[in-house]
Amino acid sequence: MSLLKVENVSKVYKSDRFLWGQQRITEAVKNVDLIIEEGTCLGLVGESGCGKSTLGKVILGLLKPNEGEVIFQGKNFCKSNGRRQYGLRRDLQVVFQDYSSSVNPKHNVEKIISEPIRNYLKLSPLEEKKKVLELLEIVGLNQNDIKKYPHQFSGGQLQRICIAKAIALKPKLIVLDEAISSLDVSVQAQILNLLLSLKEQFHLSYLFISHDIEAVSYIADRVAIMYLGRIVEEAENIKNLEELKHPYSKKLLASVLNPYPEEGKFLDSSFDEVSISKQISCGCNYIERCEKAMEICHQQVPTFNSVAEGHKIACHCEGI
Amino acid sequence: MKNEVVLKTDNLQVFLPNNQGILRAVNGVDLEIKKGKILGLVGESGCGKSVMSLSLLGLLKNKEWKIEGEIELRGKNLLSLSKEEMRKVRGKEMAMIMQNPMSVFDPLTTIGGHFVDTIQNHIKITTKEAKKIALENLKKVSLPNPEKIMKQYPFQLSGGMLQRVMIAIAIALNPAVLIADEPTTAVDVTVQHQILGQLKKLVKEHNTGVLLVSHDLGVIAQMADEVAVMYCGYIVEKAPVEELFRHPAHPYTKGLLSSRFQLTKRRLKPIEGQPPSLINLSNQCPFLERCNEAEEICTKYRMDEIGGIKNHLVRCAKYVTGNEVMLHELA
Repeated sequence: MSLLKVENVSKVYKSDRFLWGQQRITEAVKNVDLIIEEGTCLGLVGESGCGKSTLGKVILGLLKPNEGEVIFQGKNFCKSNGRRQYGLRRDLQVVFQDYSSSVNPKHNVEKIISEPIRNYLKLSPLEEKKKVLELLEIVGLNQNDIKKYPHQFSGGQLQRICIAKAIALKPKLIVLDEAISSLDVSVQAQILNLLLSLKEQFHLSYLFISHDIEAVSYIADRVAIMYLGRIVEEAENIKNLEELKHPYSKKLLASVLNPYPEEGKFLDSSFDEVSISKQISCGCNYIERCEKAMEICHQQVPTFNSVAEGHKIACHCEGI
Repeated sequence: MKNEVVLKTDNLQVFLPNNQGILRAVNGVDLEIKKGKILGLVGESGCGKSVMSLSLLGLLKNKEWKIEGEIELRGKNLLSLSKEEMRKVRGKEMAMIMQNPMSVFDPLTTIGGHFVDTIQNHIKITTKEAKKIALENLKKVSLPNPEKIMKQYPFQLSGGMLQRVMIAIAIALNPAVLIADEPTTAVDVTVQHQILGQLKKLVKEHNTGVLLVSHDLGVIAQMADEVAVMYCGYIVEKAPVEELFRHPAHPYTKGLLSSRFQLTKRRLKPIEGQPPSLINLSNQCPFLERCNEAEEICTKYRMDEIGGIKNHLVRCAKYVTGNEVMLHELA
């Protein structure tokens, strides 16, 4: 049985109605299916505003999907009662992008990290402190840091504290919502290596949400590419990202800037932006930017076709 | 006249005395921005990149900041200018592109209004003529439908479009120097490509000298002609772009390069530890504690000694004494 199963989930945001104005509807996530197996990492890539964070929140149970089901460890999170949700939450943790606003500035490190422990385990104060010290050591912080406050740390260290908080209860799945995006290059590498070693050590599963396809390819076992609310491509065990076939995935890959100028691959100013108008169309979402658009793309939403084992793609032009 | 230097800093030092000591943000920076060339400045956050670019424009708001050394723009010392004279330089001879396009624009003024304000501040022309210049410049950054954009307000445009409008305003008066402080950090990857491509094209057309500040090595590699690596306010390495990426000499540059992901799955080698605090920074090598190539001589080394060869300068003890080491490595 897979650890997490997302079935046909849709999430729609509705704006308030003005006096006579029309209600605006934004389809943030549309008919998404995902599966995360135990001990693996799924990377979710997309531009800003494509609905990847919304999907993360739906999986965490922070938002209720309008349609579809999220099944975690065989149980439907949204339809569970409070007591059962409390139990499921223990195995479901999150690390956010903004590390400084996800810790309480008035609490010291001990209090921050011991909060989830106190919620679920009944430990004596001494055992609790021992556990916090253990966690600090795992994430590579000094034991003397235990009495310090958040403002005394740098960004990378704070993100380590957030990770310590997330792994405190030995969860099954951690949602990393742009967890490394606001860190420096050298610190990003430190945190990614930490996440990889934690995954092996505790047999964790990750949902790694990011806009950086390079970082995702480094940490993830499976990659899902998202565009305007829909998953357009899913690939397993990608050794070579060049194997991605969807026109949008190719565009994302081409936008990676190469640090070795002699290898060619130069800037090309023909890239364009996501159109903000998210109209409910009957065709493919990517049509406005696609070079290969055909007649059928305007009329039908592409469905998933499998091109190779574990590699699915939703496009009319490719993979048929 | 190809390599004419337009902006030159000579031993530029910027520091802020406060109650804990002296915060030394920029320590003895010598840079030369040449006409039509892009100088890239790379470094981690908090290493003094932004303070330096703001000090070049005289934009450091807090009066406690002390600036020493020399900033020379086409033979004119900027530090000796009065506030009013500096105001005339800014925008006309030297322009800046900021990191966050959303917070730069006045939400109550149209895009056209921003152009007219900037242009009329420096040249005496009618509003109609100013609008004509604005339209031309908007076309240069290939924004669709420039007439409509002129009448729109900043909130109606996306981040990528605003960033392009900012570039258009910056080049409107054809400045000699353009300072771009992380111009694409706040936008998406695909948009980043587009903006950088246009910026590079415009710079070559107008023959503007650019200081491109970024923490992204990919951006620098694609854009810059020459690269300076900054660490704790010191320029630790300076070289032409291809040479720097092919033969990095300073251990910090090597670390930065190896901590970047590549599309191949290779274990990353991050630089361990954190940069030291800038308050009361000593004259010793600030990278000493994190360096994995540190040796005995490093403790005696002082940062004002510069090593390396002709156009590849390195501030590292290893290269100060023996140029042979470097030549050997480059070979």
